[in-house]
Amino acid sequence: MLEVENVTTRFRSRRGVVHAVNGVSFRVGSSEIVGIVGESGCGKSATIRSVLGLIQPPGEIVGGRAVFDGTDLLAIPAGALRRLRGSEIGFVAQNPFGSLNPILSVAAQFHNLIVAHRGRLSRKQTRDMALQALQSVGISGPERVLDGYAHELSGGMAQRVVIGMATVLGPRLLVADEPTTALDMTIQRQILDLLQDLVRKRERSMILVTHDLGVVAQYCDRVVVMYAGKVIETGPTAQVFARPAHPYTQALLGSVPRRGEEIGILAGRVPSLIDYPPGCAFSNRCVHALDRCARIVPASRPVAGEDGWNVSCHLVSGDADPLSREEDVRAHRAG
Amino acid sequence: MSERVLTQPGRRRSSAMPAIVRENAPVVLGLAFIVLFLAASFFAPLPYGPTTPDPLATSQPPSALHWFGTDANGFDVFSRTIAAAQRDIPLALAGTLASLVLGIVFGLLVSTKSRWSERAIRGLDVFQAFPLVIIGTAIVTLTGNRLESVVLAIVLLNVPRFMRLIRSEALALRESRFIEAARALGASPLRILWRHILPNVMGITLAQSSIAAAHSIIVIAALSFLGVGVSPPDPSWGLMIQEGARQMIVGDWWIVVFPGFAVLVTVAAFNLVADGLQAAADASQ
Amino acid sequence: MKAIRIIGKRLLLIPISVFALVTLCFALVQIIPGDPAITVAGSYASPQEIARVRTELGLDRPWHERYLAYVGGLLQGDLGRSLFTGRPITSELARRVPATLQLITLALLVSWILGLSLGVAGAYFRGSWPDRVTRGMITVLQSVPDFLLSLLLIFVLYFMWQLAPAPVGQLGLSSFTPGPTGFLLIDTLLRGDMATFLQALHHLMLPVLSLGIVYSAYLGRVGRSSMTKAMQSRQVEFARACGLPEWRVVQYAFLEARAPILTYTAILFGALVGGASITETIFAWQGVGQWGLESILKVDIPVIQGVILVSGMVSILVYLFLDVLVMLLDPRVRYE
Repeated sequence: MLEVENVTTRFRSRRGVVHAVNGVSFRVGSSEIVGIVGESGCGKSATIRSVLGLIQPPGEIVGGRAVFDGTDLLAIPAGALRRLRGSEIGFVAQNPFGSLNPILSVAAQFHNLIVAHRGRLSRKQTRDMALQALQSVGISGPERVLDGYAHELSGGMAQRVVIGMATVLGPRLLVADEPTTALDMTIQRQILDLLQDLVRKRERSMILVTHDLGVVAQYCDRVVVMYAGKVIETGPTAQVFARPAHPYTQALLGSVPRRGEEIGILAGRVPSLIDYPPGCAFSNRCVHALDRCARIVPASRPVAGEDGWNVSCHLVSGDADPLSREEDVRAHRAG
Repeated sequence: MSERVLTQPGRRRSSAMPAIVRENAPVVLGLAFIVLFLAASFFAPLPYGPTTPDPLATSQPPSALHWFGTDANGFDVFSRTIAAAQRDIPLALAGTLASLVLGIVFGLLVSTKSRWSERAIRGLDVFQAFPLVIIGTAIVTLTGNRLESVVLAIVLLNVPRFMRLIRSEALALRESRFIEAARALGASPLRILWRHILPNVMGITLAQSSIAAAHSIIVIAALSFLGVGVSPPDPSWGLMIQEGARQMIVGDWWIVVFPGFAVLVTVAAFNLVADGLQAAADASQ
Repeated sequence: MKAIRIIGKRLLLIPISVFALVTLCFALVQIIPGDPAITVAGSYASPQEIARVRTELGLDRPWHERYLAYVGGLLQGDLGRSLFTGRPITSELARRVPATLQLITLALLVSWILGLSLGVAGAYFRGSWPDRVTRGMITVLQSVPDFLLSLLLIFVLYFMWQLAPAPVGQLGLSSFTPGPTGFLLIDTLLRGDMATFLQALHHLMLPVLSLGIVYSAYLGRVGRSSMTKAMQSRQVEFARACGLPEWRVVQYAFLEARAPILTYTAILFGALVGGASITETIFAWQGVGQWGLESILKVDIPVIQGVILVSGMVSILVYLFLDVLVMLLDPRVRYE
């Protein structure tokens, strides 16, 4: 349904070129929820914004393809991509208050959105569509919400309205960028359940960007792990979580605090996206790093012959079992 | 951690100022132009005396003899345009400096969140409702048409802007961590103002000073255009433009255009400096 | 309701502002060094003349008595008489205020169109060449004194191309007497006098253009900075993500950015009542500002006081009006 290939995006800044997205590839199948996970600043948001054509100057997409149902989103004219956004691809952003226009009523915003894609419809017609959308996201009393304004809504309500707007035209792909970070803990789960519901029931697909591994484990079929603007591991959630292949994924999973357990702390810092390192971006923090790790960029290779499970690491050889690699490393150190 | 909190951005930034100026092309360009213009007005040999008319050569268009032409009285427009900088630029700088000093003092004084400082600012808002051009002209005329009165008028127009700017910047700073730390260490309010807040508002205040200088050039030109604060035949851009205004209708454009261009370029130079300083101040924040 | 309370608070500010304004006008006589009567009458005046001016200004009475008399006169709508023409200031202002208001309203309209186009274009194309071009234009416009631009426009549009009439006032030679509103454009339309209406428009062209172009720099700057902020806001990104067309995206941004623009317009309007004075003088406009300047040079104290009072009042009222308008337009204030 969506195939992202080698997308590369840069930002020009005062201090130099920021390599925000460096040849990112992943795919989203139909009726699939894919989680993109990584620390903040790893290029998750920049990746999905590149795909959606939301990169503004001084940002610039310098290469790659993002094929959605046979059309390359990065190659079609801006107008055509605009018509896909909102109707075929819905977007849910991080901060629901920030997402809504503070001056216009909710009804007016629905109206503007719908006529932008469906042409001239009366206020009455768009209102009916909006009512339906709000009901489907579980808002009771949608009439009152429609006549209200963003600042009158609670955080959870505002995010429901945003989701309603993202889904009102029935998009087949939903892109949610940390949809619950700005919300209370209790509401986070409701919103995620709602999103899952909307996607599963109507056989849609979703990209869920998050820094919360627990969310990925619970809601996502597949996971894309990003580090310093690159995908370092991608595969079915169950497998990746059970036997993480990349040292970074291992560290990340190790750092999910469980009851009575210390948070695993990684030494070192994320490399600057301006002076990008020549080899593997993780090599300076990796406890298993080999000589070539700092020099040569590891290619993406399938793990253990599993379909759709790929990792970019010199330590993982294509056919070896990821667990046996530990022994390789130990042997390497000893020798 | 405690070291981080106590690091004063102010120290770092004030020592970084020269580097910012060095790196900043618009600032250097603007300042160089102003200094050169000022130097030329004092030291450059002028082709004709700026205050000695040639009664045989009146209203002449620009030529090899008179580069910028002559006006209706036979004054050489080029010589007068250059010489006028001698009076107009220092006057603007004096007015700006006075506004800067008073603005900083009053601005810091009202930079507390107390009730009376809120009232002081409200008072400034009311002040803004007055027709300042007319009040400025009135002050200069009624106090005897002297140069000091022109400075006074500039101060009156600019001090409220400085106060407002410094207050808003200082209020934001007061909330910040390092001021809190300084206060916790027992620094006196005056010391906090002087050592911590002032250095940090300096960058943006300097940018505002340059805007104020540009504005002052226009105000001085406007006042002398009205014949206020000048003593003919001493050259001043505004006065020259006023003298040429009548000639404009019959097509003698050069009497107005050249001093007008001098005003424009000088103001643009100050604005250029302001933009550069503003960008530098923004970047260091 | 909160809105009413806020408006009430703003209304309470009016008496304070007016009081300050009146006091300042009164104090104007006080700042004259030496004997004001001599300054006003001139150094060559006879003792009788000086004595007359002294009584006229009330300088023979103690200041608090004069202040009360001054305020008392104001309350009855009496602004005094000109020392030179002897005519009541109120009736003169009634003729001149509409001339000025008409001029600056149209000038601000031009500034809005020109300045906001520059500002919005700069913000929209931030970082690319239209941004640099508009920024350069704003900087240049900001550096031009209005009187210089007036003279240049007279040279080009009147002398060279003859597109505009000579700078001879609102109508030039015409038998039209303004009334009932005093606004020429409105009066001519009300009376169906299209020829005079067009003539008035024609004469408005140059002063409106000069003021409009010069002041568009200020609106351009404010528009640019508030639009830049709005264009980077999350709601604008979400509007784009919803696939709204770009014009609609700009509209969403503008809705968020308009409050400071409107507030600034009010400040400009107030500043222009007096600030248009030099342009008025150049075009012989017979407006408030021009009268103020002429009176200052003649030290016609009551007229100066009247002009400052009226222009101050206009800016206070316009500021209040737009301030309240901004609040009413914002649902966040309206509904709390």
